[in-house]
Parts: sequence; structure tokens; C-alpha cells
Amino acid sequence: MNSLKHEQAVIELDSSDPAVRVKALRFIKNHIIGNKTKKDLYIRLHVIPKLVKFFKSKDTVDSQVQIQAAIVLGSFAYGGEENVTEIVKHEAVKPLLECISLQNDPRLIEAAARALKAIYKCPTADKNDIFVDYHLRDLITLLNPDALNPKTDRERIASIHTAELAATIIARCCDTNEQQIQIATAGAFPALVNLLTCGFSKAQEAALDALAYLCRENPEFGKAIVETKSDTSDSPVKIMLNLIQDKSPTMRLIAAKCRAKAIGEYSDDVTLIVLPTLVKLLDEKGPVREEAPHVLAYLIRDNEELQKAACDSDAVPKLADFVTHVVDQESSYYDPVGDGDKLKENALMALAAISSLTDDGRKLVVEAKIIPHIVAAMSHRSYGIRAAACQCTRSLSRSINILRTSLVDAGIATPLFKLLSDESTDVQTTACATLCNLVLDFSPMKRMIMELGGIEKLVELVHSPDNTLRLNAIWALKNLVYQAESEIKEAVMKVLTYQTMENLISDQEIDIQEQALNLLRNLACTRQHDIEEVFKGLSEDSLMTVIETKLCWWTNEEIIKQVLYVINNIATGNERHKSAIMNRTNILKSILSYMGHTNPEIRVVAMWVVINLSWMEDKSASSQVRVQKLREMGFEEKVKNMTNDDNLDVRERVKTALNQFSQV
Amino acid sequence: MFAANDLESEFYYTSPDLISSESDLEENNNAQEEDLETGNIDTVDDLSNGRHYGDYNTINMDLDGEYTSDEEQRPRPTPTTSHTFQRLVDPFATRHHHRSSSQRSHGFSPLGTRFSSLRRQNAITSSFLTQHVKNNNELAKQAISDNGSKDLRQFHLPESSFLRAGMSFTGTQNLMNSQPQQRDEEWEVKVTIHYVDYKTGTVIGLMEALNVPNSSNTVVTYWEGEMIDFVNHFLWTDKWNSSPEIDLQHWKKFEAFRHMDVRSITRGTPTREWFQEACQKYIFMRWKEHYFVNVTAQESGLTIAGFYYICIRRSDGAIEGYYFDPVSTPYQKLTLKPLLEGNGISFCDYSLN
Amino acid sequence: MVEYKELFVGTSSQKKVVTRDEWVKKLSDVKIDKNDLNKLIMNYFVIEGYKDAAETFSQECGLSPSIDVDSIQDRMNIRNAIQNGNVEEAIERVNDLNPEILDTNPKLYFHLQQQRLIEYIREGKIAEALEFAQDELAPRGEENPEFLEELERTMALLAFDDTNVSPVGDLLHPSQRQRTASELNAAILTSQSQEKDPKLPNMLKMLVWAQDELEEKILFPKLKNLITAELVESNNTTVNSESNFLST
Repeated sequence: MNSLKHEQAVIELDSSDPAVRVKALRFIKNHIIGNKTKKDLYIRLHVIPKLVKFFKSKDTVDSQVQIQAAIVLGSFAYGGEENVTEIVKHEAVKPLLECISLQNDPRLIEAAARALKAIYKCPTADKNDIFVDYHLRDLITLLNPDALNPKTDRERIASIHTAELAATIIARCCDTNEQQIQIATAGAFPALVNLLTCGFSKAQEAALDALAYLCRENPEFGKAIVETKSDTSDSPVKIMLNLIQDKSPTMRLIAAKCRAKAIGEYSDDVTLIVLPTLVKLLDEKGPVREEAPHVLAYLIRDNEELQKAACDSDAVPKLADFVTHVVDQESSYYDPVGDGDKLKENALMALAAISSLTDDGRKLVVEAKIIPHIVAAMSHRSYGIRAAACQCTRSLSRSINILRTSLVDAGIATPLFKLLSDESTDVQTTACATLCNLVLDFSPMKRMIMELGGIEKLVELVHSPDNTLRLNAIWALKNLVYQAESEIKEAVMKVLTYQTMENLISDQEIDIQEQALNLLRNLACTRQHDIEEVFKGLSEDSLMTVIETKLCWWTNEEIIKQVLYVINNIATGNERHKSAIMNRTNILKSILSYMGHTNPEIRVVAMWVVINLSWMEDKSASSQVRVQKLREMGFEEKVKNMTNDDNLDVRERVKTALNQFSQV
Repeated sequence: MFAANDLESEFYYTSPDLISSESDLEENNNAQEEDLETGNIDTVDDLSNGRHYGDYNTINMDLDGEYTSDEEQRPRPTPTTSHTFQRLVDPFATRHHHRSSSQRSHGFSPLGTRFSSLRRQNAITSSFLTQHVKNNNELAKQAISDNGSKDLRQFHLPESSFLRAGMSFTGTQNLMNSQPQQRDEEWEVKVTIHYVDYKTGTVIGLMEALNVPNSSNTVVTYWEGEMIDFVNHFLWTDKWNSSPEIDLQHWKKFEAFRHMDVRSITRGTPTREWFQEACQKYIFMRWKEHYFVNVTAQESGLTIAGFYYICIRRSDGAIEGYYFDPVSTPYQKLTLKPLLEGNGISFCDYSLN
Repeated sequence: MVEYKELFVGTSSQKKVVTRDEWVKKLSDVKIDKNDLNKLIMNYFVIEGYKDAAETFSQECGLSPSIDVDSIQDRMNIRNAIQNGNVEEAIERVNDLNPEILDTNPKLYFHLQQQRLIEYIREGKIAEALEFAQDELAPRGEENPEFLEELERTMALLAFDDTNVSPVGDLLHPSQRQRTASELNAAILTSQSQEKDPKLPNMLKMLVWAQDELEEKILFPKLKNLITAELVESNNTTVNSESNFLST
């Protein structure tokens, strides 16, 4: 390639004549725009530091030079991450931010904003510079097209374009919660809401996008946006709803996404307008169709009513279609591979969301006959699809009926189990969550999973550094010993070890403590033999100490509940087991006080402990002694005072307990 | 379950050909489902010999009294055999639903004329019955202001320690034959509850029959139940070949109702306080077995075409139940108590992730 | 119970016939807002890039164009450049107008480069064409493999001396320039938040379709010629109508 003229252009950048410089800049500009190869060439010719110099020199520089230099920098930024890294390395960002200051030539502001937008598109670019000095304030001012006092039509249009650029920069710079707060404090909400009414679709889309990012994982801000006052008489929700019904599908999608994030107080429009719009967008083509399921999944994920509404629409068959058929896909910027992977993944997530809370939803998904495809997706090359397949399975497995029939039929256990060893932690975590449901006593797949080495694998995951994965692993083990035969309980504890369980009971994560205690509860359930095993495994002393510590020094209700159940189950054992509890005065005192706890569930368990400790089945002397001791400690009195407890179940237990007391 | 050997097997078994004897547990489950699905013949019309519970089919009737076709609810494969058999009804398919319980209309179409062939047990005519049921169910929608009766929409079914996942019960099921020379048949039963949701009024569990006459194994079935909570489910079954009269006959058998006469029950529900008092002492349910878990229907010699009316006592967890199936001997009684394997009652638990 | 004859309506195989007079009367009863008409026409001028016409029309009917008229000029200049084979000029102009357009439309950029190559070949500058292909087009193919097929097609032009028999001869037709120009015009309009399709052609399509649909149900005087707007009656007598809404 003849690079002489290009080298020449770079040299001319150093000319003292601004006209020559401008000419060289334009030459370079017209060669690099759209052309990655040329961008790379010029970067190798070290052009970027020369461009940056144009902004740093204090002598009056021709504004045309700066404008063209800014345009050139922006174009380089479109060349990919390496280019942006180069630009940032040569400290171009700060000077560009200076250029958007309001006293500058509007054309320079526009050019610099454009360059910044391209730079910030790159996820690795450092975004902190915006939050220094007045830059953020300038950006927000630029959101108003009138800020630069445009006089002609052309200027007006340029102003709106600058507003669009400012909105996009804001959208790209609120990655963290702190950044969101700073931007909001600087007054972004009203400015963006007003931009929504400007009538120019690109600017409106940029504003919607910015608002959606500002309230991402931030429901408080979502509420604030919805309550912002606009300059027109319309509320932000009304404005968004107008855009949700726009003729452009892209606008409809972005507006729906924005509304989905900025919900605030739930209102009917979400079910009546936003949801149906998203479902209809599934008929579009390209990036719109690809992203619509993702927004849909987000919208309905925790809301039963919305999921029911989605079931009533024809969303499921359409989504199922994306999963089962290789979709005719235009290549899009979202999916350069163009295999329809992203679409499939998003569709699976949407189906997982629809079936997450209601049996209606699960039934619909099963009837769409996609389970074989879900199983196949578990070995897909894309980890996003594998994880989405797990999510789908997880949702479906919440129906016991489906778990026992459709999921068994599809042979889901083996592929799912394999994913516990997947290279992606996300996949492992979701697979483990699903497995929690498949190892239950009434699941036909329990045995197979154990035969595949389920216990060993789960115990391995219990030691994982990822907290969510650990939680799911101990959860699965807890479910595994629910109603289990003694052999299974022993098999589990042989691998897990009582020591590990003891450690988990004191884990830093409360959720994990809860699961571990529940595991202990299940171990000590049903048979004396099982209780004895626990006593052997932990030693009576350790066991009682753990119980006492948790009972007397913790206030978390879930923890208290589980500990009380552990005690309860032990109290159904033999003399020795019951005595172990009776000998610990602190434990008894705690139980006495928990009988008056505000949470009825806790009161009920406490009552059951009393009932089991005063169990009179054999009327033996030892049971009489126990009852006496309880009476002396004030249990009978306390129970009597609970005769009119609010809770029916508590009252029933009171009757039983009093009856048992009365026999001694 | 019901021992089918007293009556013609064709009417009770699901198609046996599909199952090989070596199939394992999972395959059995699948096969059962297939069996059930191949039989989509309108049942009651076929069971015409001497069956007097009407020539109507409540199975496909939704609460507005409108018939919906079977096909609309759930696509089924075409039948491969010409067996006539009791179609086991999946409550998920016939839930008159796709509407939330709050939107469901409460009503029952007046079918007075169709009931005319029913036996009359007392002075209450069928039309009076259905009218009254309809009336009372509609009343449930409005606030009642007479005699301090509570508005039933606010009625909330309190929970019971005994009705929760992980609880097991043991006892017997008695078949009381009308002929004096045949001895009572009785077998042991163990029931384990595996899922309880007070919000939707749903229960799921497994039932195990031990020392069943014709089978060497125990026979395990999977059942799903509904709690009579007056929000999701009411005293009136509206499906499974039942009728308000049949419902009444069975509810009356429970000790909770025994001393009450039919008229006051009908008038009393759903608005009277004393009925709510009954719910303070008991929880009423219906349990319906859906398929056999460990054997085939034929191997077991049993049928699960009917369902149970169930009552559990809050104080001690005792369960009383009556099996109903129009073609079985009526009022087989199920008597269960909580299973105690230790000196006390222990509770294990799981949670769905 | 329904009267027998009422049942009969709609099952007749005879189509209802609308006479010319009835039809003309119905048409004249339809009210069309003149302002809407003007907007339609302005919309056509603006999008298609007829700047002078837009300006004059704007003054005469008092309707301001939806965008600034200068930008129409910009687009016109760009379109003309391509129509004249000056692709390089067009690229420079569009980069002045909005430097992001070509950076964010690889397909468009490729087509512009492709057009440049075609122009070289058209002018017989084969050496330059080859050099250009190597410098500019080959890298496009490397950057985006989905363009390779079109690239090969274009290179095939060089294989045939007589372009009339070349299977890719269509690339040299004026229509190819037209295609490229329209693609660029559309991209510019989109970047300005403008629609890229004028409404008028769609309306005419609607009209033709609606007539076809209606014809299945009733017989009525149709507009057969959209330019003369003559109403042709179903029994083929031509009727000149004063009330048709497309003035000649």
C-alpha cells in the first residue's frame, strides 16, 4: 500500500499555517471514517498525540482545527477497544471535556461531544473525568436544545443533535450507583424528561436510554423519574406511553424498556400497554426482536399478575418458536456472529420468567414442547444459553407435577448435573439452584443424581469461593436429606462431615447459616437412630453449645426458628436426648421467652418443644420429672397465659400442652 | 384407591398394553400419563349401565355452567384402544380457570331438570339445592350484614402444624361391603404430605397402600388436593363426577357435620359463623389421586378413578376421609393419624429454589 | 326466529353495483383537509430532496418544511455527486454533514467504495481500479466477510471487456448509482431523525390495494390511471370526474 500521502498528511499537521493543518485534518478524516484499516495505519503513524496537542496549546488555535481534530479523534474511537485505549492513553479525554464547555463554538461542542460518546461506548474507558469540575453540569445543560441559543434552523437541528449526544454520554456513564446519584443530583431527570418531548426521534431515544440506565437496579430513582415534572403538562409516564405507541419499533422498544425500569408505583398501563407492546415487538425483525424478550423478562420477573397477563397473550408460542427454530437472522451489532444465539438466550430467559411464579405459566411452557430443546441448550457453546436453559428448568421444577413427569421424561437430570462442573460460575450456580428441587424425596431423579456422584459434587461446591454457589449447594444438601432414609443421611454426612456443617452454622452469610441449621434439623428428624447419629457426629457438648449460642445470642427470626426446630426434633428422641436439652438451663430459659415472640411461627415451634419435652406416652418416671422441672421453671404458667393467643395453631398446641401438664 | 376386582375390569383400568413389566419407576410414571391421555372419551355417557349420576358431564363444565370442549382445554392424542374407561381428570386441565380466583364468577347453572333422575334422600329437591348453592355462592361476593355473619371474602384459613410438607400419617382404609357374608376389606395406608400452599389452597402428597390383596408390593399413588378455604375452593366439587348432593352426603359423614341437617348446611354456607367455627377445629379438603407411582394399575388391582373427601383435625392431626367414585361401593373410609416414630412429633422441611 | 328474506341478504352471488353518479357523489362527500394535502406534498419534496420546490411551495402555501431547507440542499448535492459518478465528493460531503454516518454503517460504506470502483472501471482506468480494489476494497472484505460475495461480483466486472455480455453488467447501469444514492440519502435522513420513506407512494399503494379488495365485493368506477385520475366505470365507459382528488 502506498502510504506516502498518509505520512505526508501527518507531517502537515505540524505546519504553522492553520489552513494547511485543516486541509491535512480533513484528508485524514475522510480516509479514516468507516475504514478500520486506515485508522490502524494512522495510529501507527503516531497521529493521536499530535491531535491531542491541538487542544492543549494555550495560544489561540483556530477553532476549525480543533473541530476537525475532535472529529478525527471521535472517528478513531469507532475503531474498537484498542483504539480507545490509545486515545485514553494519550490523555485526550480531559481536553475534549473542556471543549464541551458552553462558551465554546457550538460546532466544537458538538464535535467534542461526538468524540466523547464514541470513546465512552467502550466499556473499559474510565468514566470518572466527567464528574470533575463543571463537566457534568455542562452536559446536563446541553440536554436542553435552547441552551446554545440556536437561531437558524440548521443551528436548531445541531443543538438537538448535541442534546442527543449529551444524553448518550450520560447513559454510558452511570455504571455505578454513585455515578447514578451524582448525575441525578446535577439535575438530569427534568432535563431528560423534557428532551423526551422534543419531537426528534434520535434525541428521544437517547433520552429514554439515559433514563433507563439512571434507574437501573435503583427503584428509588425509578420512582423519582416518574414523579418528575416536565415543562409540558404531561407526566413522564404519559410521555413514555406516547413513545411506546410510536410508529418506529425501535422507539417502542426503548420506550418500553425505560418504562419497565422506571416503574415507581405499579399502575395499569404496565399491564395494558407496555406488556402487549413488548409481546407484539416479538414479530419485528433484527435487534428489536432480539431485545424485546429480554425487556419482557425483566418486566415480569417478580410480578405474578404480569406473568399471568403474559400467559394470556400469545407470548409463549412466539418465544418457543425462537427456541425451537433456527431463526432467520440479519446480522446485527448485538450479535455479530449472527447465529441467533442472543435471541435464543433472551427467549429462554423470557420463558423462564413467565413460568417462574405460577403453575399456569409452567404449564404453558411445557405445552409449547420446548423441553427437549432446553435439554439440548444445556450443551450449547454459549454459556449465556446454557445458563438460560437452567433458569427455564428451574422455573419449571417448581411445579411438583411437572418435575415428576415432563422433566423426568426429558431426561434432564444428567445434562443438568454435568453443568455443575461448567466453566462458567453463572451456569454452575443456576444449575445448582435447579438441582435443589430435583433432589427432593418425591423427585424420581433423586436416586440418579446421587448415583452420578451428586453428594460429592455438592459438598465440593459448598467449599466454593462464590457465595451464591455455596448457598445453593448447601440448600441442595438440605433438600436432599428432607424425609431421607438413615442411609442417605449418613452418606451425606460422611462426605460433608459434621465439622463442616458446624462451620457453616457459623458462616459469615446468614442465609448459609440458615440452610445449615435446616440441614441439621432434617438430620435429627423422624427416627431416634438419626438423632443418635447427630449426637455421635457432633458430640453432645458441641451440639448443645452450638444450639445454645445460636438460640441465646441471635435475634434473626429465621435462625431462631430453625434452631428451635432442631431442639424440637431432638426432643422427640430418647431419654438421653431429652435430658441433653433439659440439662441446659439457658436453652430452656430462651425457649420460655420465645414462647412470647411476636412471630407466631416461632411461638408455635416453642410450643412444640414444650409438648415434646413433656411427652407422656409412656408415663415413665423420667417424663414426670421433666414435666415437674418445666413447671418449676414457669412453663405451665406461661402456657396457660397463652390460652387466648391470636394464632389458632398456637392455641391448639396450648391445649395439648396443658393437657400433658395436667397429667402430672 | 379402590379394589376393582368386584366389578368389570374394563371400566376401571387404564389401557394396560403399553407397559412392559421390566420398566422402571420413571417409565411407569410416563406410561401412566400416556394411558390417561389416550382415554378422552366422554366418560359418563359411556358408563350408562345403571349409573345414575346423570347423563351430564360436569368435567368440562366451567363455573359459568358453560361447557367447554375437551379439546379446547388440552390437546390429546387420539385414542388407540376402544376401551371405555374412567378418564382420570387432571385438575390443572379442568380448573375452570385462566382467570385468577378473584375474577372467577361463582355460579352454578341451574340443571334442575337433569337432576330429576337422582335419588332423593330428603325433602330437598335438586333444583332447590342447586338454586340455593348458586344463591349462596353469589352471596359470597357481597358483604353480608345480617346477624353478624362475616364477609367470606375476608375469610382466611388458618394454618395447622399437621398440614405441612413432611408430615406422615398412617392408618387404614375400610371397604364396608353391603353383603354380610363378605368380610370387611381393609388395608394399611401411609400418607406423606409433600407440598402445602395455603395461598392457593393446594396440597400434594403420596399415598401408599400396604398389604393390598392382589399385589405383592405396596402400591403408591400420587395425589393432589384442594383445601376448602372459600377463596380457592368451596364445598361443592363441580367435577370428578360429583354433584352437590353427593358432596352433601359425604360431608355429612364427618363428625364435624354429623349433627347438622342438610338444610342448615346449605343455608349456612358460606356465610354462617358456625361454619367458620368448624374450620377452626378442622380443615376440609378433597384429595384426588392422579397416577400410580411404583406399579401399573393392573398390577395393583386398584382403581384411582374417584377422590376422597378429607377432614383433618387441628388438635391432633387425625384424618378422616371418604372415598367417592360413582361406580365403587360408597363410603370407603380412610382413617389416619400422624406417624410417630419417636417420642414426640418432629418436623423436617425443604424449600423450592 | 329471523325473517326468511333477511337471511337471504349477503348470500346472493350478485355483486352490488354502484353507478357513476352515486360514486362521484360519495367521493365529493369525503372531506380532505387542504393542510394535510400540503403536508403530504411537502413531505415528498423534502425527502426526495427537491429543495427549490420545497422552498417555493413553503412560501406559497404557508407551510414550513419539517426540517431546515438547507439540509435538503446538502442531501441534494450529495445525491447529485453520486449520480454524476463523484463518489469521493459525496463521501467528503456526508462526512462534513455528519461524520458518524459512515462510521456506523459498514454496509453503506462498502457500497460507496464499491461504487467508486465501478466508476473507475466505467472510465476505463483499469490500473487505478486494481490499485483501488487492493487498497480499499480488499480490507473491507477482511473486516467484514459478509461483503466478500458482493466484492467478488464487482471484481468480475474486470474480467469482461464487453460489459454488455458480462453477467454483472447491471453494476454499470445508472440504476446502480441510483441505488447507492438512495441508500446514502436514507442513512442521512435517519441520522436526522427523519423518516426515510415519503408518504405519498405508500398512499398510492394503499389506493390500488383498497380498490382491488373492494372490487371483490361491489362493482364501482375505478381509478385505472393514477396520473389522469379517470374514473372507469365497471361497464367500461369512461367518466371524467371533477371531484377526484388527484389533480392533473
